[in-house]
Order: sequence, then C-alpha cells, then structure tokens
Amino acid sequence: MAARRDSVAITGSVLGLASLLFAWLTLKPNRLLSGTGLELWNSAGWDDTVIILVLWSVCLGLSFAGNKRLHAFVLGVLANVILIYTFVLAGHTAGNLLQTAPQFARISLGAGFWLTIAAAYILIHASRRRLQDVRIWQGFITWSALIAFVVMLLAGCFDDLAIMQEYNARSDRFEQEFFQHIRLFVQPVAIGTIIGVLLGIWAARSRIAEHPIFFTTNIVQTIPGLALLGLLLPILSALADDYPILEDWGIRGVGPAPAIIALTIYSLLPIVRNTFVALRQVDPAVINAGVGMGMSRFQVFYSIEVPLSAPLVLEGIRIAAIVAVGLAILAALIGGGGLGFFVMEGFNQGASDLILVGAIPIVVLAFVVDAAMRLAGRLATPKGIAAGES
Amino acid sequence: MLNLHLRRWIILLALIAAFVILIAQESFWGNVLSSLFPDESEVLYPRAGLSTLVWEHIQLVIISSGLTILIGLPLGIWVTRESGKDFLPLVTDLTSFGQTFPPIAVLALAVPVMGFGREPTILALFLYGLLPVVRNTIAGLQHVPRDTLDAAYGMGMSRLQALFLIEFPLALPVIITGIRISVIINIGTATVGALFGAGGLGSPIVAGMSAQRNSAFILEGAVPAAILAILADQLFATIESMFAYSPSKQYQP
Amino acid sequence: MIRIENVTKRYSETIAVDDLSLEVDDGKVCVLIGPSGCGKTTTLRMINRLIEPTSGHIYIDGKETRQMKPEKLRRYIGYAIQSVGLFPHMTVAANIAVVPKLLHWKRQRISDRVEELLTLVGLDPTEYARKYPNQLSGGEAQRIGVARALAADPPVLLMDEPFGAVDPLTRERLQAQFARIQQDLKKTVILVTHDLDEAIRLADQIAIMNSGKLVQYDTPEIILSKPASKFVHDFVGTDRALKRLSRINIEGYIKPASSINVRTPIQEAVSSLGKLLYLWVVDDHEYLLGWLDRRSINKSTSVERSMVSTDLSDMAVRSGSTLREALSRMLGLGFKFVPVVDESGRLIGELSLKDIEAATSEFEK
Repeated sequence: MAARRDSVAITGSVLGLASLLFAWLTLKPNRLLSGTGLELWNSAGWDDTVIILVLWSVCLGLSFAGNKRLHAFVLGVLANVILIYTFVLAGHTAGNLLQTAPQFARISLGAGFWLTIAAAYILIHASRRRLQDVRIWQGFITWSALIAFVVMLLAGCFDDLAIMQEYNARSDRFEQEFFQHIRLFVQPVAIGTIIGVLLGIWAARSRIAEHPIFFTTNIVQTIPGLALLGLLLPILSALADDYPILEDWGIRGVGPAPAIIALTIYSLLPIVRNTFVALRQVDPAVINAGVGMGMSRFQVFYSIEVPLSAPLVLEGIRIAAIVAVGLAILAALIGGGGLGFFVMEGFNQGASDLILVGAIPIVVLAFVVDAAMRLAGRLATPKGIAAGES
Repeated sequence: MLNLHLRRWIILLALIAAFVILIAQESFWGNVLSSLFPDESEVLYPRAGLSTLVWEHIQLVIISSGLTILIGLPLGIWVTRESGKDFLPLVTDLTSFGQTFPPIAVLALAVPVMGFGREPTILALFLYGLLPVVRNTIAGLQHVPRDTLDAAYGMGMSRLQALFLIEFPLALPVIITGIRISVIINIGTATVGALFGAGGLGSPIVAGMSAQRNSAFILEGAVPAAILAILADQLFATIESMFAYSPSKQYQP
Repeated sequence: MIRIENVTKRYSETIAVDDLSLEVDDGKVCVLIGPSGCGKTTTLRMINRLIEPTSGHIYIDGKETRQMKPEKLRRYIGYAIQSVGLFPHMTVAANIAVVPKLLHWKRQRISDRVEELLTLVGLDPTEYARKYPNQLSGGEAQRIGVARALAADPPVLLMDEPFGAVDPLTRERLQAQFARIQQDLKKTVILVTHDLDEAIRLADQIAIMNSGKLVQYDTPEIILSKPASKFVHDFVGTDRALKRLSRINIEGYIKPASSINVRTPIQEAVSSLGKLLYLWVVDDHEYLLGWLDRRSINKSTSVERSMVSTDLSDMAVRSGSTLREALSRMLGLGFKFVPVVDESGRLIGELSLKDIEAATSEFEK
C-alpha cells in the first residue's frame, strides 16, 4: 500500500511542538499566591529545549513517513522517551529553581507540561493502532513511560514539585484519608450489590415488581448527589434523635454514615438494571433444557443463570463502584473524611496544589478500580461466551 | 397516537408551570420550612432568593450544555465521516476513558486552572458533558442500517444530503438520549459547583452542611434541585418518546 | 441504451469483473445471473457508480457515466435492492417522493405521481400513502421499493434481487406484476438475480456470468436450447425442456373442445359421447361444470348427476398460462387433457399432452 500519513500522529506531534510555547512550570512565591509561568527555556535551559524540539520534529517527520510497523514502533518509543525525559527534567529543574528561589517558593506544573503529556498520549495511541499484531512492541510503548513514572515517583524524583511537597507535609493524614476513601466506596458498593442483586432478581422474576422497582431507582438516580446527601442529613438526624441505638451504630446526621447511605442508594440502579437484563436475556431454551434434564429450580439458577449473568452483573457493580469513588468526595463536606478532605482544604486555603493532592488520587483510584473490575468480569465470563463490552 | 403525546406534554408543561410558580413564592417556602424546623432562626438562605438560585443553576446547565451540543454534535458527525475517520478510534477511546473519570474530580481539577466562580464549573460541565453527547452521536450514526444508506446513495443523494435527510434523523433518538444523560449529570455536578463559587442551588445546601448545621437551608436547596432534575429528565423522556417510528429505538446505549 | 465496454473491476487480490462487454437495447430487460461471487452485483453497481470500474467505459444513451457527477447520474437511474432500504422515519409517500424532491419537482406533481405509482404497483394510495415502513408486510415493502425506483420516471432501472426477500408465492405475484408493468412502461432494465426461473420469466436477454466473465448472452430460448458451454449447460439444469415450456403461452396450442350442455337428456348425451373418450359439461353460459366419460355415465340418471365435477380450479388452465403450467396440471391429475377456460371460467378449448410433447420436440431441432 502506498505510504499514508497518519493524521492522528501528526496532530500529536504538532500538539507536542505547540506545548513548548506554553508555561511549563509555574514559580510561586509561596503556596497561596499565584506565580509566574516559566517556559521550558526559562526554566530548564536552551539545551534541553532544543533536544525536546528535535524529538518532536522527528515524530512529526515520522508521522508523514508511512505505515510500516517499524515506523509506528519508533514513533511510540520516541513518545515514551519524550515523556520520561520530561518527567526527569521536571523534577530536576524544580530542584534547581528552588535552590535560587526564596524560602517558601513553590513550583507547580504548568499547561505546557500537561499538553506534553496529552500530545504523547495521542502519539502512543496512534502507534498502538498500527502495532495490533505485535503485542510485545505494543505493550512496550504503552507501559514504559508509565512504569518509569511510578518508579521515579517512589524514588522521590518529584519531591521538589509543589504537589509532592504538599503531600509530604501531610503524608500521614493522606494515608488515613486514602483508606477512609476506600471504605467510603467499598462499603456502599458491597451493601448495594447485595440489595441490588436481590432487587434485580425480584424484578426479573415478577412482572408486577418490575415497574415500581425501576421507577423508584430511576427517579432516585436522577436526583443530584449533593441534594440526596443533603436530604438524608435532617432525616438521619431526626431518626438518630428518636432512636438512640442508631447513634451507637454510627448512623447519625454527621460523619461518614449519610455519605455511605447515599452512595448505597446510588449504587442500586446500575446493579439492579444489569442484574435484571442479565437474567432476562438468558435464553429460555437453555433453562428449558436444564429443567428437562432433571435439574431442580435452584440448580438451574446456580449452574446456568448465575454463570451466564455474572459478566453483566459484574459490569453493573463496576459502574456503581466508579460512581461511588467519585461521589465519595462529598463525604468530606460532612466530616466523613476521604480524599475530598484535601480538595476542600486546598480550596479553602487557596492552595491549588493541595486540591490536586486530593483530586488526582481519586482519578487514579477510579481507573484502578475500573481495570480491576473489568478483569474480574473477564475472568467470570464462562469460556465460549462473547462478553458484552461496554 | 398524537393524543397520547399531547397528553404527556400537557401534564409535563403543567408540572413545570407549577414548579415555576412555587419557586417564585418565597414566602410559601419560608412558612413551610419554619413549620418543619421551628428551632432555626434563619430559614431561607440569605445570599440570594430561591428564584435567583434556580435561575443561576439553570444558567450553568444551559450554557455548558449548549456548548456541549455545539461542539459535541459536529465532532461526533465529523468523526464518522470519511474526512474524520482517522480520529474515530482516538475519540472513542477518549469518551470511554472519560466515562471512568469522576465528574466531581473534573470540577476539582478545573478550579486550580480557572480559579473561583462560574468559569471552572462551566468548563468542567462542558468537558464532562461532551462525553455522552459525542459517544451517542457516534453510536447513533453508526447504527444507521447499511442498506438504508445504500438505497440513499443509489437514489442519487449526495453525502451531505444523505447525512441530513437520512442519517441524522435516524440517529436523533440516540443522540437525544445522550443529551439527556449529559444534562442530568450536569444538573448534579452543577450542584457541587456551588462549593467553588458557581452559585446555584448547591449554595444553600453547602451552607446548611457547614459547621452550623442548618437543615432548613439544606432543604431549600435540595428539594428544588431534585425536582429540577426529575422534571428535566421527564422533559427529555417525552421528547424521546415522540420518535416512535425508528427501528433504532430498540437500541439501548 | 446501455453499453458496457471492456469493464474490469479489480480489488487488491481478486478480479471481480473481468473485461465485461455487453449492450442492452432500449426497453429491454437484461438479467444478470450466475453463481455467488460471479460479479453480477458488482457489475450492476458499476452502472450507477456505487462502485467505480478499475478500467473500461460505461455509456448510457451515448454519454459516458464517468462524465457526470455520480449523484446526478443516479437520479436518472432507478435503483431497487433486495432489502428495499425504505427510510424508516418517512412515510411511504415521502419515501417515494425522495428523488422527485431531489429533482425539485413541484409539490402537486409529486403527490400526483405518488398516487399514480401506488396504484401501478397495486396498492391503494389512500390507505398506504401515510403508512410507515414498519407497518408494511414484506411484499408490500418490495412493491413500494419498485415504486420508489420508478418515481422520477427514469429511463433505466437497476434492480438487485428485488423480489428476493419474500416467500415464493408472493414472489411469483410480484414477478407477474413487474412483467405487466414493464409491458406498459418499457424501461431499460438490468436485473440481478440468482433465481433462474425468475430470469427465464422476466428476461428479454440473459447474461450468464462466472468468475467475473461473461459466459453467454442470449435470449432465454437460445440459452435453454443451445447452452454455450458445459458450465451454462450445468447451470441451466437438466430440466431445460421444462424451463423452456414456461416461456411458451398456451395460446397457440389450444384445440377446440367437445362439450354438451348440462341439461341435455341423458340418452342424447350417450350418443354424443359415442366413440369419444370424454365430454366436457357446460351450463347455458358456457361455464365449465365438469366432465363425462363412459365410466361415469349412468343411463338411469341425468347428465348433471352423472358428470364428474371435480374442483375445477385444480384442473382447468386459464388462458394466458404457460405450457409448463398445463403440463404440471396434467401430471398432477394423471390426465392427458386439460380444459382451458377464460378469466371468468368459460370453456374455450382444451390442451392435450400429445400437443405439448410435439412442442417440446420442436425445440430439439
């Protein structure tokens, strides 16, 4: 086939070149005040700027070259190189800058840095598409920079950046709130799964129950998260006043309890709906065969319906979990802890890097949970069934 | 068939009218809330009246959703055309990537970038709202049966004519579902935006949740917010139900 | 007039159409037929440029198709496909009106045309114009597909298995209707099918293709009587003789039939029967009621009670039928003769097995 330029790769390369124009690092006199943006050449120096410029230009050239697999691989490798180089440079330059800066100065990552990452992502994405049949190469260019990043993070290469400084100042609290955040989403999803699956089974079995169940869960799902949480507070306070035992169990109008209850309610719809669809879509002929072979109703449920429904139900749990990870930020508003605590603190203090200390781990957590649940779904899919990809 | 739709519209519009009228009656709310919470000294959120809050909230949603439709629809269309199909995998991956991204986190990340006030919330709502709209536009357009398109081209429609006369009308139900999802999520996220100074119905809720717990404030914000969301959902559901002809209605995104 | 000149279509590894040349005269139906993958549909789609030829030229009425913009070209060619492809969000009337609207016809002209076409394909305009495609049966949808293709009164009609997606009974009816419409409209038609019987019924010329090449291009009679190669011979099948009979109308073979009135006294009937094998029995208006033979005749009763009055719809052949149908009746009933009736059921003659045998042997010469 004639050489075809890769528009996506070109876009990535151009974006990468453009990222050089933006402020790469921001130097702030202290953690609260806004600072001045520094371009790459002002912070790291011209030598490094030129190297990165050259790398992006080579990428651009390769994007025009052709669609042989080798080109794609080299493109992917270059993107990873740029990323790793950028990471190293960021940590290093921050350290250099701090040495000559006033005592409380902070260095934040600027738009240029983020654009670089976006551009590299686009390039890696474009290269991956052309390397579908060589899994090893594809895996290499997908994970190299990510692994390097994690290694550098743990080694403390980024410790001079504002985010890490905020983190390091509160690492104990972070650990505490991080695990609290996990509790804040695992509990609701677990309870929600039990209730949701039961409701889903009920709705699937009974035509009468189906409508009201979905009607209620649909309505509740539409209500904004903050509003639902808010509505629960006076209700729970009143209940705790009237029935003191609840207060002993921790269910009152403050603390994590209202958040957990709200999140449980939000977990219901995806799980109920997916359980319902999963059960309804089991081919009646298969059930008939089972019954015909002499299986009891319970055996049919256990050995036919459950395995066939498992993938979809797990997908529903996955969706519920991701929603819960995000909404759990709100728990901090009512003293429930969690990573939202840092978001609120950061906002209230006006320290934007502290906000990031809360927000970024939430995003990472969401993706990790997503990946884990997808894996669980794949493992639970009986061989020979095409699992529905969402 | 027209009668059924007419009835739904009339009920819906009546409910909306009732909502609007009730919102305007501040004193009515004040009385209800006082009777529910006799201990609270202040029952109504002081910074702004209820109708102002509702209007602020609606503004946030309309501006961001308007931008989302303005940019999301053409993007979805472009990516399914010849000229844009190179970018289809990237855009598809980004929209599913965005599905995992927590919406409130988008809001939290927008604040350091854009500061305090309405702007970061509108930016976050716009960006996050793009995902269902783009995803459903792509899905809707891709689900137009190949034979229907073949017949269209075979009869002499140009690509543009086929897009406007055939593909887009057939994809419309799915696209409207995407807009509906986007708007409902936006109403919810906009509520949180009040935390970062965007105004809207989240303001009394957040104020009521602070150290000086004031349940009256909370209800003043939460109840209208919930009703607003439910009404908006029903509005879109009614619009969707008007597209009864299309076989693509069976498709559940 | 359509002229295909040395047209080839090559995909990277395969040659779908290999140096094809053929001409279709105005007002004639040319059927492209062949096994799967022979290139017939590709050829069809190259005429209206849904597929572009790798090399070669296609001319319609002397103008090369490549000279025009594809959209403009297609508005002058009717296009009907197997799955019909009716637009689900438009009414039947709107569907039919698509090309006229693209050609900027005036609204009144369009609505008149829609009415005209619905009537032409045998559907009541008042009932069907406002229906939606999901309310139609398969046969109705295919008929509207044809109506839509004819909407702008194009000189050329391209059809790809237009009657394929329905049951055999409906298909036969649709084919008959199409044949009748074609008789009136005399469009230049290129029709792709895999059904040889359909080709034999409808075609003026049949183009048999195999692996992208044109193998034989002749009238159905010649293809059936003089297959050009072993492939054609096998393709056409070993019942060529039967297939040929389906091309021949019974008109030229009807012989006068001996009949008596039902009220004839039995004695007279016996003497009329005489040495004949049988007699047809008719009423005062010549409507066929049954038949009499030596076994059934009973001197003690009347003609009416003696006659055998089987279900005549099984036995009688309508005028306008083909020899093949007549033969089929004879074989089914075990008779060597069948009566021929007109549309209302009046006896007009009879056909004998001997005459059909004679007709068949004529072809062999």
